[in-house]
Amino acid sequence: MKTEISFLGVKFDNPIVLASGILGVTAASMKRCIDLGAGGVTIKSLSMEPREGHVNPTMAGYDNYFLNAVGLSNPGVKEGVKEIIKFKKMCSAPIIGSIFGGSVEEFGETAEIICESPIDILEINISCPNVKEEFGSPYAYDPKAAAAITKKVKEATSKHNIPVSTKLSPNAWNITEIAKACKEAGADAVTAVNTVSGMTIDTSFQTPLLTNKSGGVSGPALKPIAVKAVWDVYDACNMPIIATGGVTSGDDAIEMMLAGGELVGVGSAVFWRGPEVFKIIVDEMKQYMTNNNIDSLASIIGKAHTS
Amino acid sequence: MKPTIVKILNIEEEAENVLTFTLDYPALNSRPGQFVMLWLPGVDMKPFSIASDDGKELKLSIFKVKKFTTALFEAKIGDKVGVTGPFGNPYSWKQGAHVLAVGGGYGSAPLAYLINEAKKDDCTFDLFIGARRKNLLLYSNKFPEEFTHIATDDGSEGHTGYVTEILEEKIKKLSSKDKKRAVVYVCGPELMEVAAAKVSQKYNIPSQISVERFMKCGFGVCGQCCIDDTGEPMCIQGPVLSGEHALSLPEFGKYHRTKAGAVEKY
Ligand SMILES: Cc1cc2nc3c(=O)[nH]c(=O)nc-3n(C[C@H](O)[C@H](O)[C@H](O)COP(=O)(O)OP(=O)(O)OC[C@H]3O[C@@H](n4cnc5c(N)ncnc54)[C@H](O)[C@@H]3O)c2cc1C
Ligand SMILES: Cc1cc2nc3c(=O)[nH]c(=O)nc-3n(C[C@H](O)[C@H](O)[C@H](O)COP(=O)(O)O)c2cc1C
Ligand code: FES
Repeated sequence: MKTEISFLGVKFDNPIVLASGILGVTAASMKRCIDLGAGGVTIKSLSMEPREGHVNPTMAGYDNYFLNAVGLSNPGVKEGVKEIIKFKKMCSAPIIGSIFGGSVEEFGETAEIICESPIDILEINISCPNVKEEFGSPYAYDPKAAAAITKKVKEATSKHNIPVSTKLSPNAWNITEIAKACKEAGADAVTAVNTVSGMTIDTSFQTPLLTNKSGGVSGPALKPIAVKAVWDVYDACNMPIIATGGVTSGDDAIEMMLAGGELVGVGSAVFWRGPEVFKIIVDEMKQYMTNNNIDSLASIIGKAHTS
Repeated sequence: MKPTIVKILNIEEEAENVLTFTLDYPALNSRPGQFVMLWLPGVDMKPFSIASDDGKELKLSIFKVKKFTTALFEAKIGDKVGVTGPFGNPYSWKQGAHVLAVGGGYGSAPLAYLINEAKKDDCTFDLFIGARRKNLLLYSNKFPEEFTHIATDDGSEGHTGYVTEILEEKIKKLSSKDKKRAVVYVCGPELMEVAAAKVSQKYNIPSQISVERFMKCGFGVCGQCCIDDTGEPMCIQGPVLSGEHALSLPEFGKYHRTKAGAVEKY
């Protein structure tokens, strides 16, 4: 039984990768996710300057959804690079870098720095819904902006032969247009999706729970939205996809692959099933393979489109 | 993980710059060593160790530091606050153990909770409390004098010097029978914790240390509190670790991470 996936030329022992922003602040925390069964990890998104992020409460978990407005806290790309180097000393599993910025130039500068580190793939986060006041609407809503950033980042990554995946927003009504624009600008893949905008109000205090008021919804409530985004992008662009959003079980992950995901991002699931969730999901996928006589997971990618 | 909104029932002055807040929280079901996140809407949400939980009321002893704690110190009886938790790995003990509790700063708060619970399991106690000076001592007169031992840096009360020095003196004097059933429990400034863990190790007494890191979620999602080199989140795997495990971590006593996640040396 083969769970290996070769994604953009990088070998993953299994398709389950830690999504950006969950647990992945330090080398050690990412290594722990590998030990607990993940096929690869994505580091928490990095920016040029360190950021403290929003004021707490920044996260809340409920039965079927998770809401966050962490506000892209990170120690800055230079510190982040040290964690990436350390991670690669600790293990040989693939690591996906992740960057964001306030302008096309800043994305470019940040990319230049992170490309000096041993990342296997670089994810461009243009889709965080929680920093509107600072950065305006996510670039992921605008095909031109998404393309301009992808192009700029590619200038840095191509010198190092590092493939790029642009991370899309489920809030974009024209997600396939955005994906196409990114592909034309040189994106090797897309990550679909980031969180969808949401809010929850505390009825006792009669005020939004998050200090940032609005946040991003992830977890099971996001899954059907993510499946549709992956499906649409696969259909329209025929490009590799890191399918992310609401995966908490092996069956969810299989669903994402059938929709067209080559890798499957898993984040909020650790809230419901603990950090052991990576191994649990992979085991459940293997069970599915046994039950359905599937030799290799790679064979089911996009399969739902052919039936 | 909806915050429970509760009323402040009482506010008492505990020491200089320390207030104990009593909250109307029935059935929290916590264990000593665990913490809650306290929410003041519009201000922040921060972690605090549980100082007492009798199934009806929850007590937190809080040092005034900056923004959040200053805002909290302005709260009045009857005001409402939000609480999530309890979170984290608690202290544990065996029936009839001899508890050597070592507290510095607000560290005495969870240890007081530990003593009150372990009493029910026929444990015996020695409580060691340290502070820079007398006015900063927390919980130094809550327990019987015969088992309360005090150290201050300036000698304004008790032993002049570190609390770990009086811990070591006491351990040396323990009968071999008491030593066999002894466990050291520590909560306080990290360098004091390192010293206490080492003293315990030196005398072959197991220890349990509360290791605190910057916390955002409190429930193992954000990764902000993960410690090197195991990557364990201290909000779940900790705060209470065995002393041996804590001492094996290259981060313990050496550095921690800020709110942004940057390494900061002690
Ligand atoms: C598990 C745990 C238990 C704690 N128990 C108590 C307690 O019983 N009594 C008490 O007075 N204090 C306790 N603290 C510390 C308390 O959370 C901080 O003192 C408080 O958040 C300070 O907030 P501030 O806005 O007043 O000051 P700030 O200026 O925000 O912080 C001052 C210092 O407090 C610490 N701190 C601030 N925010 C956090 C955070 N989110 N997580 C961890 N540390 C932080 C940092 O060292 C910081 O430099 C505990 C911390 C942890 C992690
Ligand atoms: C607490 C939290 C922090 C996140 N931070 C980031 C981030 O820094 N960069 C990013 O690209 N996505 C971030 N995300 C989005 C996730 O990577 C992922 O796309 C989303 O949560 C959907 O997947 P899930 O349902 O498996 O969590 C964050 C999500 C959560 C819950
Ligand atoms: S505080 Fe978020 S993982 Fe511990």
